[in-house]
Amino acid sequence: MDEIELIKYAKEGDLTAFNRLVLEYQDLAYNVAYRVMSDPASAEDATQEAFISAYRKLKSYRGGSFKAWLLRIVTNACYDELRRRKRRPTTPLEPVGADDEEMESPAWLTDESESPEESASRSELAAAIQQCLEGLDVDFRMVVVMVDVQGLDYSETASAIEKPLGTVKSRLARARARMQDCLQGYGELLPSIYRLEGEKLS
Amino acid sequence: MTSNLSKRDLEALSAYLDGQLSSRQRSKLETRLQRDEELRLELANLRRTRAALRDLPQVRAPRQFTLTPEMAGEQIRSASLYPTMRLASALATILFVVVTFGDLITSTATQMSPAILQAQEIVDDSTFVVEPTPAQDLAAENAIEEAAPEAGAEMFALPAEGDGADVLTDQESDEVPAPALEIAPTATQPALAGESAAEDATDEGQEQRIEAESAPQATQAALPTATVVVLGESEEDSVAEELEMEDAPESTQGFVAQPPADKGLEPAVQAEEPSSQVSLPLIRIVEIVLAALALILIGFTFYLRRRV
Repeated sequence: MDEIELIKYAKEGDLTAFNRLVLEYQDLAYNVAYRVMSDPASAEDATQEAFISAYRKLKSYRGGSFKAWLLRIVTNACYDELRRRKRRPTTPLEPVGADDEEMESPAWLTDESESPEESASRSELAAAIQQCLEGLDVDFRMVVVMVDVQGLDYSETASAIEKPLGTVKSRLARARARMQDCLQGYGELLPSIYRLEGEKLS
Repeated sequence: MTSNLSKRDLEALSAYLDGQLSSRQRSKLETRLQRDEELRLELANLRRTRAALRDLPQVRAPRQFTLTPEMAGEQIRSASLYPTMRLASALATILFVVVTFGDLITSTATQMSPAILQAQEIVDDSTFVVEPTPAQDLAAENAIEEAAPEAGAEMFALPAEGDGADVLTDQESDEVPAPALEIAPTATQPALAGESAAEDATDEGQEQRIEAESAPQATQAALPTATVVVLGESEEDSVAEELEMEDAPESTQGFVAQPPADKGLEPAVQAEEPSSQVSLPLIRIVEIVLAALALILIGFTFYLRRRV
C-alpha cells in the first residue's frame, strides 16, 4: 500500500493505516523536534502531540507533500512545547554531568554502531553543532534543521513553516552564517574536514 | 568571516550552494567568485558548515509514536463533540433569553392591567364593594359576642346582618368610605404586595380577635387592612360573601370559631394563587432549567475547548 492509499484509509478512520504512516515518519518528526528542542523528553512529547494532532486534522490535508504537511504540525507542536517549557523550565539546555561540569560528549548523543574513535569525533562535532543550534533564534533553527539536518527542499520547508520561499532563503542564509561563526569558535575540536578556512586567513 | 559579507551576498551564496539561484543570478555570482577571493573563501566555509550540519547523526525515535485506539478515539470524540456542544450552548442561551424576555413582557402586562382594572372598579363601586364586607365582618363579630353563649344558629343568621348594619351606622359610618378611598391607590400596587398585606392582615386580625373578641378598636384596626385584600379581589366578593355567610352560623357554634374576615381572606388569596401557579411558577421553572442547562453546556464546551 503506498502513501496516498494509506492517507486515504487513515482519513476514513483506519487507525492501522495511520499508524503505518506514523512508523514511516516518526524518526523524521522526532529528529526535527529533538534538534529544535535539544531535549529528548520535550521532543518526545512534541512528537506524540504532533501525531495525535495530525490524526485529528487529517481531513484538512488536501494533497501535496504529506511530509511537509506533517512537519508543519510538528513545527507547531514544537512551538507549543517550547512555550510550555518557557513557562515552567525543567531540563537544563546544557548537558551537565554528575559533577555539574559541562560534558563535552553527552552520552545521549553517542551512536553505538560506530568505533569509539569515530564516535568520539562525531559526537564532539554533534555536541558542538547542537550547542550552536541552541544559540540560534528558534525561527532560524527550525529552517536550518529542516533544510540542512533533515535534507528537506526549500518549498517543503516553506510549506512546513508556512512562510514564503524568500523567507526560507534569508533565514537559512543567516542561520548558516551564524552556525559558521559559532563552529569557528570550536576550532581544533572539529574534525579537519569541517575546519573552516577562515582560521587560516586570520 | 561572514560578518564582512552583505546580507544580499550571503543569501546569494547560500542559495547558490543549494542550486536555488536562477541561471542569470548564478552566472553573475560565478563571475564575481572568480575575481573575489574572500567571496570564494566564504562559499567554502558555508559549504563546510552545511556539510557538518548534514552529517549530524540522525537520532532514533526512542519509542513508537503509534496511536492507541483510546488516544485516537478520545481525541476524535472531543473534537467532534466540541462544535455540537458549542451550538447546543448557544441555543440554550438564546432560548433562555427569549423565554425570560417573553416572561418579563407578559408578566408586566398582566400585573399592570388587572391592577388598573381593580382600581377603577374600586373607584366606581367603592360604596357597593366596601359596605357589605365590613358590615358582615362586624355582624360576625357581634354575632360571636352575642350568640356564643346561646349557640343558636338559625336565630343568629337574620339579626346578624341587622346588628352589623346598626353597628356600622352607629360607630363607623364615617370610617367606612375612608378605607375605600385609601384603598384605591394601594390597589394599583403589585399583587404580591397585596398578598403579603393580606397575610399580615390575617395574622393581625387573628391575634387581635383572639385576644379581645369584641373590642371595637381591634375590629376597626383589622377592617381597613382586611378590606384591602377583599377589594383587591373584588371579583371574588361573591365568593367571600358566601363564605362569610356560611361561616357566620358556624361561628355561633363555638367560641373558638375563625373570624369571618379571615375565612373571607383565604379564598380571596387562594383564588389568586391558582392563576399564578398555572402561569408564573411554571415559566420560572422553565427559566431556571434553561439557565442551568445553558450554564452546564457552556462549562462543558469550555472544558472540551481546552482539551481540543
